[in-house]
Amino acid sequence: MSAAKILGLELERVEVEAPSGLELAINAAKGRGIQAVYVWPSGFTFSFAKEISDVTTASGLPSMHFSKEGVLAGGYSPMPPT
Amino acid sequence: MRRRKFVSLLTGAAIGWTIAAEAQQAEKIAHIGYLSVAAGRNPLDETFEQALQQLGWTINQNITIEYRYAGGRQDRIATIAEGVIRSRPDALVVWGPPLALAAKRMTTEIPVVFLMTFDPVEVGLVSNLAKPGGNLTGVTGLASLEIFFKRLQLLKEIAPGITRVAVLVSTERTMSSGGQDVCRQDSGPRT
Repeated sequence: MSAAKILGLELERVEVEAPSGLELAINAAKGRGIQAVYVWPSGFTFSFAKEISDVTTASGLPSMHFSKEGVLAGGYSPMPPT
Repeated sequence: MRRRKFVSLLTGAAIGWTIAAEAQQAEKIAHIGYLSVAAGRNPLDETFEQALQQLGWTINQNITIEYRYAGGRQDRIATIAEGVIRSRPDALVVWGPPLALAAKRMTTEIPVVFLMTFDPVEVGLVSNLAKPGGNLTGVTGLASLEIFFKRLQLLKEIAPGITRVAVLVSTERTMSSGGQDVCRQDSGPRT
């Protein structure tokens, strides 16, 4: 059993191609029942951490970030943000 | 440049913590070996020094840095690593897996701080992330499953009522195969 299932979590991969697509992607995910957002580390998600955090906050979804920028913009990071 | 700054700040912090106790106790000038795959002095180095400065380490006042560059040549890695280690630095800063592995092979006594975007467990630098053991520690921008699950667990603690989580990825191909497997495994055909 995966760790996510042990935690009682169902994961859904949500892809974004550009910052302009963030709001649509997050809101659509929320419409499908998504309750939180885990931001997967990448150049894109690092560069647009603030935008991601802004969108998730506006959507009322907690978001887990790996970078300081995302945390400063209102997201979470369970480890020292990088 | 922004990313360079943030990784340098982290590494600066890590190296600062690593050398702080010893250097402050002895009131000596700390000596750092710095191994990079770059061709030479670059903005990353300056940012690293600025990060140290923010932590109270001033070049040539209470810290010296011995820079060595591999110039992108794998065949130079062992030579430059050996040269720096021979000077018995208080700590080593290494960029990337090849230099980090070389440092690991060559010393079990000098603290080594690495920076990479790979999984240090997969690379063979540390046995696990919770207790790396040995003389190595570092910073990684990795997308490993171990960190993924650890963060997921803490997300669940922060918001215990959640049952469905979006893993937000970009279409750039930076997600590890492991990460993709996680989503496939847990979310079925949608992924």
